[in-house]
Amino acid sequence: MAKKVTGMVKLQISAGQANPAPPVGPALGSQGINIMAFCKEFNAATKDKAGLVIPVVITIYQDKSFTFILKSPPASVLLKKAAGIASGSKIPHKEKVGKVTRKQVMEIVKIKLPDMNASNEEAAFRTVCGTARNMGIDIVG
Amino acid sequence: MSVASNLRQVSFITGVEAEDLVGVLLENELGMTPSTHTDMATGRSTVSVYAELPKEQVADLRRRLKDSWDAAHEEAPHLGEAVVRIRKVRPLDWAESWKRHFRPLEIGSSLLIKPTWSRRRPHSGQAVLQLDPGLSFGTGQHATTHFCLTQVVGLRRPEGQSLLDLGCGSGILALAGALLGYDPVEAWDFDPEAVRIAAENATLNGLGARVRPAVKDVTQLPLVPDERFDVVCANLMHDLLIAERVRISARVAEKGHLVLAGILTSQFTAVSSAYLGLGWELEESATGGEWTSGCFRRTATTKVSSNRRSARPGA
Repeated sequence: MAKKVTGMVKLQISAGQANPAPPVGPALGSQGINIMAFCKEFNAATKDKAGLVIPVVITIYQDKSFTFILKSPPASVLLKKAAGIASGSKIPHKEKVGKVTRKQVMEIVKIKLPDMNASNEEAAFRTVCGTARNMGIDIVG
Repeated sequence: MSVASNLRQVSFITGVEAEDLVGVLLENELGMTPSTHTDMATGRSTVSVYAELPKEQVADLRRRLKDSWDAAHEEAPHLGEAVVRIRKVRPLDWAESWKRHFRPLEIGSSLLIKPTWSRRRPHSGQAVLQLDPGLSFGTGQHATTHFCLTQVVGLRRPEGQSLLDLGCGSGILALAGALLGYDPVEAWDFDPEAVRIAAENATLNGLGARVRPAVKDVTQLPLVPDERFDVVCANLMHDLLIAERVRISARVAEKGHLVLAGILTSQFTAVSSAYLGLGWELEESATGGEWTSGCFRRTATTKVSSNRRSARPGA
C-alpha cells in the first residue's frame, strides 16, 4: 500500500514490560498510535529478552498505522555496565564517575555498529567515546 | 489510571545528529532513558523524558540542561543547535486517549468502517466493517485507501463480482468487498506480517471463511494468471505499478475494472500513461491531499494475457 512515513519514535523499554504509562503512552498517544496494539506486539517480540532494556524504533505512516524494529541496547547502558556504575554524572566534564578501557569501548562498538549511522569502526569508536565523556566516564588504556 | 498533575515533558528539540548526545544529557540529569520523535517533514527530533517535576524546579532544570548542552556543544560544534523545552503534560488515560484520532468512516450510504470501540450504529442496509488501526497499513483514513473503498462500493453489481486486493495491508479493501457481496475475494500482500493482521481482521469481522489473505509478491506472479477478477485494487507504489503493469493488468477480467492508488499527484501522469499504453481507459480519478488515484476500465483494444478461468464461478 501507499505507505508514506510521517514520523519515527524511538523508545527504550524493558523487554516484555511495555505499558501505556509514560514514556510509551505520551510518546505514542500524541501521534495517534494504537498503544495497546504496540504494547502487545512489543511484549510478544521481547518475551525471551527479560531483564534487558530494548531500544525500539517505531515507524509511523500517514494513516497512523505503524511498524517497529528492535535495536541493540543503547551505548549509555552498555557504558554504565562496563564501568560498573548506576548512572552518569550530572556535571560530566568536571565530575567523573567511572572509567572504561579502549578495549571495552571497542566491544561496545561491535555491538552497536549495525545500528549506528557511523561509516566505520573508527567513527563509531569516536561517537561512543563522546557519549562516555558526556556521562562523566573516562577512557583509559 | 491516575496521572499525577506535575508530569512534564522535558525535551531537547534538535537535529537527528545530536539525538544521542542530548539523550545522554537528559538521562544524566533526570535518571531516565529518553524517547525520541522525529518529524519526517521537518527533520527535527524531539528527545524527551517524562518526569514528575514541581513548577518551582522548572527554571532551574532548564538552566542546568542549557548549561550542559553549551558545554557539550563546545566540544562538538558540528552537531548544530538544540533548544530546551519543558511543558506540562495534560493528565490523560494513555490507553484510551489515542483513540480520539479515529472516527467512524462512511463510504456512501452502504458501508460504515468503525473501530471496535465505537458505538456508532449503522443505517439500515449499511454494511459494517470493524477495523482497529495497528501494525498494518489501511485504516480508511488515508486518501488512497478512501478512493479504493469508494470504487469498491461504486463498482459492485447485483449479479456479484470477484475482487482482488493487491497489496492488502490490513485487508480493509478485501473485507469491505466481502461485506458488500463480492465473491470470491482474494487479498494478497508480500509482507507476511500484513497477511497475519489481515487474517485477524477477517476473523474479527466473521469473514475468516470467505477471505483468506495470502503471501504473494506481485513481482513474482506468473505473467499468465490462473484466475482473473472483475475488480482489482492495487494500492501500491507508483514505480511498482509501472514496472508490473502487465502482471497487474493480466489479473483483470474482460470488462473488468482496475483501481490504481498509492500514487503522488506528481507521479500520476506517468502511471496513467503506462496503463493507457496497454489500452486501458481512465474512467475516474480523484485527488486527496498529495495523492491522486484512478479507476480504469478495459477497452476493446486492451492487451491481456489469455486467461484460464474467471475467479467468479459461472461467469
